[in-house]
Amino acid sequence: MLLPLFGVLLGLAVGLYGEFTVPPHYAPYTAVALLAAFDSLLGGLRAALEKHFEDNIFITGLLSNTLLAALLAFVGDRIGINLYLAALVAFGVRIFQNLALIRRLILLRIK
Amino acid sequence: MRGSSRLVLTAVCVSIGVLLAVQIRSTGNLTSTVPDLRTSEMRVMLMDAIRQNQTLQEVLEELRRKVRDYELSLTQGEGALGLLRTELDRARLLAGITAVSGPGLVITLSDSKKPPVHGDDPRLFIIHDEDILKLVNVLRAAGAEALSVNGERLLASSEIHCAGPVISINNVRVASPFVISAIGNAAAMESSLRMRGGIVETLGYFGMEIAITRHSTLEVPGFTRPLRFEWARPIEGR
Repeated sequence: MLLPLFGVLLGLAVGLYGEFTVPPHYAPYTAVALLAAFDSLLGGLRAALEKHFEDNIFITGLLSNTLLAALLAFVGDRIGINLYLAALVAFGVRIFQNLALIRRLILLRIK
Repeated sequence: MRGSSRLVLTAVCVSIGVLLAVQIRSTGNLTSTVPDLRTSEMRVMLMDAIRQNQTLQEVLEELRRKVRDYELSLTQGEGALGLLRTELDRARLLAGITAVSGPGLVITLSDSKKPPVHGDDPRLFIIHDEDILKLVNVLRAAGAEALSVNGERLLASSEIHCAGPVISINNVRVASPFVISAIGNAAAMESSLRMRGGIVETLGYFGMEIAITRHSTLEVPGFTRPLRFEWARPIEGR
């Protein structure tokens, strides 16, 4: 479990000390992508705790979530509705659900 | 958990970290500049008020002295001509038709050399008449007394206007790189250009190349072509 944590720190360091910034009008896209990745990560963690983690499912889930979110943001931009909010809410709800499940699983394991 | 799953999770974690940091840096900058801008704006206003007060005091002093001088020369008969000549020189200087020298800044601006990213508007990465106009305005606000762009002296009547791929100043076409010379308080002008959220930061965001150098003596050429008013006439008796 330490390796992924180390990965987050490495990524933060790369992002903070790198030169790259997102143009302001792309900020919603990256925000949604970030949330999608975070959602997939928690989903993966939960699957790992429930002992049915599969690489293929994890990767395809991550990619399809991110792509669909970006697509929603893009279509929303075109038709003048902030459709990315839909992705934001859906991911937000799922993140909390997964978090609750992970908490239960860890508590059960400790008992 | 198997080794490969662990690697996959780690890779996702790295990308989450990068995205998070980039997002924070990109949007964090935007929000933090607003209050800073407000305070620096107010500071500039206060400084301006103080400076204005000082110059008005000086002008008052000078006018009083001038009245005394005129009275003196009137009583003595001579010297009125000399006074008129110094007055004429002063008027020429203020009109901007004489070359002047003094301390100031030289600002060199050239178009962005950033490779254009797909989807970005290429017009954002070249210098427009409005950029030069804003820059000149900031310099004037910071007390620049004589300004020239690529050797064209800026007068009260000078235009800075888009003329296709180039910019028209005094009806002369100038193109990038733009060299702007400004005589005035170098420190004040430089700090107002470099203010947070100011013009240098804005242009730098789009990758424009801006070099600011301070000079202890700097020459700004005078306006050399004839100047005439076709429509405006002075009102008699004022």
